[in-house]
Parts: sequence; C-alpha cells; structure tokens
Amino acid sequence: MATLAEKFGLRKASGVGEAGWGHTLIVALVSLIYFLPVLMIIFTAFKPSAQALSVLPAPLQK
Amino acid sequence: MTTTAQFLPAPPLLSPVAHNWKLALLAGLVVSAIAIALFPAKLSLGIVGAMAALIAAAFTVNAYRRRYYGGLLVAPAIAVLFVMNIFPLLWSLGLSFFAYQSNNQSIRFVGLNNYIKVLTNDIAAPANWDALINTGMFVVFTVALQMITGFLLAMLFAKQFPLRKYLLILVLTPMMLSVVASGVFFSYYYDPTFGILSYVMGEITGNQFILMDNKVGAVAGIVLTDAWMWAPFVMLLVLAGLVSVPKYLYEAAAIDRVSKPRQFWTITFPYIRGLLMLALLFRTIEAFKLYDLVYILIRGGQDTKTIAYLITEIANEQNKTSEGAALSYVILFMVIVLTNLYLYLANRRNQGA
Repeated sequence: MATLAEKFGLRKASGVGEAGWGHTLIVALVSLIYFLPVLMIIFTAFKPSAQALSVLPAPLQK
Repeated sequence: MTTTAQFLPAPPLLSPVAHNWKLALLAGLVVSAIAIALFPAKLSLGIVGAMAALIAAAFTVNAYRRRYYGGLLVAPAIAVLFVMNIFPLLWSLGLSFFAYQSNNQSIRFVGLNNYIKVLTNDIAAPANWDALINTGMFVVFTVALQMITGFLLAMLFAKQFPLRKYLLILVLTPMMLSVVASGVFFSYYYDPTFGILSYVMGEITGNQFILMDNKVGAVAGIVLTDAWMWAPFVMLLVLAGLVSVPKYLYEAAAIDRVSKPRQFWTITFPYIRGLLMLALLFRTIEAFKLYDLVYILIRGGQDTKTIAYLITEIANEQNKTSEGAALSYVILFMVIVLTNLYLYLANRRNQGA
C-alpha cells in the first residue's frame, strides 16, 4: 500500500532515476526562488526610475 | 611531393643560417636582456618585439624546411597566445623587478626590492596582509556556499521529471548574467533606503536594517551574491557526474536493499568526486581574483578589500605599477601552490580508490 508521501509524489513513484510530482513541485519552487532576483531585474527594467528607486520597494507596491 | 615531416640534422649552435632557431633564441634572449637593462622602456620594448619576431621567423623557416606543416598550421594560434597571454605575463614579471610608475617613464632595476617591500614594508605590508586575510575569508565562505548550494541543486535535478529542462534554465540564468548587472541589482536589494531586503527585515524586526553597516554584513552580502551567481556552475559539473552513474547500479543496490545513504557513498559519490574536486579548483582560483563584487557592492568599504582590489588600487590609483606587479606574482605563486596541493590530494585519493 502506498504511503502518503508516495501518493503526493514525494517518494520515488516510478523507475530508478525518475521522480514524481511532489519532487517536481519542490524543484519548481526552489527554481523560482533562485530565479527571483533575475525576475526582479527584468521587472525593474520596465519601471521608470522613480518607481524603481522608491522608498517602498517596487515589488511590494500595489 | 610528400607532406610528412622530414628528419634533418640540426645546424651547429653558432651557424648563422635562417633555420637555426637555437641561435635566434639565444640571441633574442641576450639582446632583450641587454636592451631592458640599458635602454629606455619604449626602445627596449621595440627591441624585445623585434627579437620575438626574429625567433618566430627562425622557427617558421625551420618548420618549413623540415616539412613540419602541422606545426606551421598551428603557428598563428600559438603566436596569438604568445602575444595576448604569455608576453603580458612575462612583461609584468619583468616589471616586478624594476622601479616603474605608469605616470613616470623612468625605469630602474631594483631586483627583489618590490617583493620585499610588499611583504615586509611597515606601511604597505599590513594592508597587504589584511587584504590577503580578507581574500582567504572570501575564498572559504564563497566556495563553501557555492559547493553546498550547487551540490544540493544538482541532487534535485539528478532525476528525470516533467519540466526539468525548463527549470534547469531558470537555475542556470544567474551564471549567465554579467557580474556588473548582478552586482548593481544586489546593491539595490541591500540598499537601506529603497532595498527590498532592508524593507522586509525592517517590517519584521521593527528597526532599520542596514546589511552593509558592518564588516560581517558586508562580507555576507558579497558572499551571498557571489554564491548565488556561481552555485549553478558547481551544479552543472556535479550534475554531469550524477547523470553518468549507470542506473543498473542503483537497481542492483535496491534489490540488495542497500540503504539510500550507503547507495550515495558507495555508488554516487565515487562518480562525482572528481567533478567536485574540479569545481572546487575552478571556484577557488576564481574566488582568489574576487574584485568586481567588492567594488560594485561596497567600494572596498567596511574593511572588505581583497588582494585583487588592493592590486588595482596600488597599480592604477597610486600608479605603483611595479609594486602591483610584484604583489600579483606573490598571489599567483600562492594560487599555484594551492592548485598543486588540490591536484596532489585528488590524485592521491584516486590512486587510493
């Protein structure tokens, strides 16, 4: 019987060297966090200087 | 007509024929040494250049006579390598034995004085040793963080899963950015007025947060930026080792019910050990040359000047060109010793394995 971790893909769900959806989600999250500064660089490039250098940082502005 | 290399007897050393490269080399070295010692810098540079051309011409004629066409074909590449890499290296080595300032054309032979000065002078040496300690600290922290982060990222990407190649591109992007772009944007993130880090930390703690306010924070900021940029490089190397491990080894281990940690140490680690060592070597050499992030993020403030930063200051801002060259060679010597130590340890482990 599959454990809870296996159901969510956190454990090896298929063959050797293949990961399940849980592992994919974790990697996706880590990758996005790692990519975040680059994303901010890209977004900042589209903002006017006043907004890019605002006291309330640009990503937190409404 | 045959195109294979021919064996021809070498001419006597002092025979003045066009293909006698040994005589050309000897004459070139002697004349260059005399020119450097006796003539002004510009004239001696011209003479050294002419001697290099003479030696190259003798090599070319010799290769043509012997029908060594392979050598002739690679000669342009070797010439470019010599002009762009080897000559500047030798020139700066020569410069380190002279008293020379870039804003003053006079040049005087001083032997090892520059080396003694940068290592023992009452004013220069303490700053150099401080910078060296800072460099060592950056080497340890940045390389350690890069190795750990890169290794963990590689472990995440070792298995096959959906969207793997797209997520891999996201993680590899920081490595592709220019150091200046990353440095400038991280200086914005760390900025006490409009930086997101200061804002978030201020909201959490209720106090104003300035990361670069002290040495620990400044070092942490530089180390984090450098590690963020170069951990993907370590990941790439380790990943190459991880994907090369044959799957049947894991299948056999699974049948034998070998635990995961034991699988890692007995199957995975031997495959990636060499690549880890390579990553360690590359990143250590690069960390020794850390200059750009220290300049962009904090301009060497909070006592974070590295040895590369100090060399730039000495050679470019203070115009002490030959002292800067001497310090550069002291560092080069240290890097060579460290590199050989790494290689010795790696080879010893491989022989033991």
